[in-house]
Amino acid sequence: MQILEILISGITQGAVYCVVAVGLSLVYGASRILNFAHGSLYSLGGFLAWYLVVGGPGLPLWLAFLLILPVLALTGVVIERAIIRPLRGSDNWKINTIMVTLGLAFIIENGLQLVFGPGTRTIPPFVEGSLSIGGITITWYKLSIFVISLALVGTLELFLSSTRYGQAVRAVSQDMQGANQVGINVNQVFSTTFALSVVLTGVAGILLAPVFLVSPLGGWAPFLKAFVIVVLGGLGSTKGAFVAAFILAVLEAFVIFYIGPSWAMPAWLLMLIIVLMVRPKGLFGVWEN
Amino acid sequence: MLEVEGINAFYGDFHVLHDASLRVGKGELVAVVGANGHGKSTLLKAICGLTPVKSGQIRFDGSDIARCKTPHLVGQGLVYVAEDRRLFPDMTVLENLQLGAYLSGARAQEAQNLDRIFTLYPRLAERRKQLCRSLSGGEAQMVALGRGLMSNPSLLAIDEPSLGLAPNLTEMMLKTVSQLNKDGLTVLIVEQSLALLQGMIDRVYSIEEGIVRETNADNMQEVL
Repeated sequence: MQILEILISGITQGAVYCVVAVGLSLVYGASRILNFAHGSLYSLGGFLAWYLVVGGPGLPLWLAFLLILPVLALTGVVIERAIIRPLRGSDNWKINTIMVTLGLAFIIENGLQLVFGPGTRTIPPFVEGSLSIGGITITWYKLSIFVISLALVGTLELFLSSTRYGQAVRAVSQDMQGANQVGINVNQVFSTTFALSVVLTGVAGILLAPVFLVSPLGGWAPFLKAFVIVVLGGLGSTKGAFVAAFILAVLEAFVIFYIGPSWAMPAWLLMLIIVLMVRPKGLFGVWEN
Repeated sequence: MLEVEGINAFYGDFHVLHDASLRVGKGELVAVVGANGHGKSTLLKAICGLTPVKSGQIRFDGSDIARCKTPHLVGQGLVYVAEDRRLFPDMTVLENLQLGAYLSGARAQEAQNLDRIFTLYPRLAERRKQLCRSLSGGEAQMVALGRGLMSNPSLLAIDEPSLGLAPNLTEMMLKTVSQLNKDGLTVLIVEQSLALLQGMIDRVYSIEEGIVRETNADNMQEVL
């Protein structure tokens, strides 16, 4: 029974990791940009929600969500347009974009500290109580973030696999010049994927605010985890990120229970090393020319 | 239909195209022939908006397109088929072909064009569900040409379709191109060897160190 409980805890956690990681992978897949500000954008989502729900006007969480989503999407578009696109195609642009997104992470974090102070904040869970089935107990809150996360990732996968625009996103990811040749506006795809990615990480920041708290520097841990997940799953593969998130979250749950929380990250890295030794591109790495 | 006048293009600091000019009339099949590294691919890419043009004019159906981006040109009917095919390797044959009809203009005739391509190449119909990374060179070239046709071109610019293909496959490929031209499609084709194209082209340009010259039927043999 205990094993089942640990498994469930891992799976519910995995769904949220998945949201952060899929966002990171989506942008890498389409535009080969490794966004080091992904974690601070996660914090940004959390702080915006905290302000709207707790610190400021005291809106209900669902309304805060509706207001924050477009802000996050717009933030993604602005970042892509203003600081990434001008660098694209220049010498060493892959390294340069890492540097500028890292710089952006510092700007966002310090901005958050300036506005909200260095302390941690929390949002009350949007549902109380828990569900018990056959001796296993799970809070409604955990269950609902699990369902919301799966719905988000599922919708994204459906969008990528069965809409023409989703097909275009995959096309850009697999061959940018080929995509250009069939008439796909590649820049627009970059902007769209960046917007989607920021929405995903920001939403994860909001969903996890009740358990993990929100702090200006709090985005680094989820970013680092998402990074390991994405590399394990195969850079640029959203499917890989999905599978890897669950594998690693379940591993984490067991390691935390049997060995201790400080061993979770070493266990992840060990897993990563083993997988990369066998499959250097990760589980589902994208094809490179 | 297509008039190129005195274009110059660079690869980094290297001057690749020197005042290159050519024209393609409606319904013609025009070839550009030259050895590797003399700029024939760059010429085609410059026309199709994939390589920036420093100076000169390119007119397509009367409008200047020298500064136009590729997706816009595809919408206008100027479609490019790359020598390295540029397929989407982790998508199926069908998805690759569907993406040829990505723009709304071509979308309207998607089903019709798809039927046409499957009739032309029954093998692609058999392999419609197969990922493009697993195709042979000949099949990949069929998908590349098919994807170009799905874009509903009025002028198809084909870069060295024979590249990497066995002689019998090359012959089959070029026969298809010739047939498409006879059915009314305007084609600009780039090849290394004129011998392959004999009997199917209307006019030929030679390109040497970035300088383009029209070659008439009399000295075609010279080029050969």
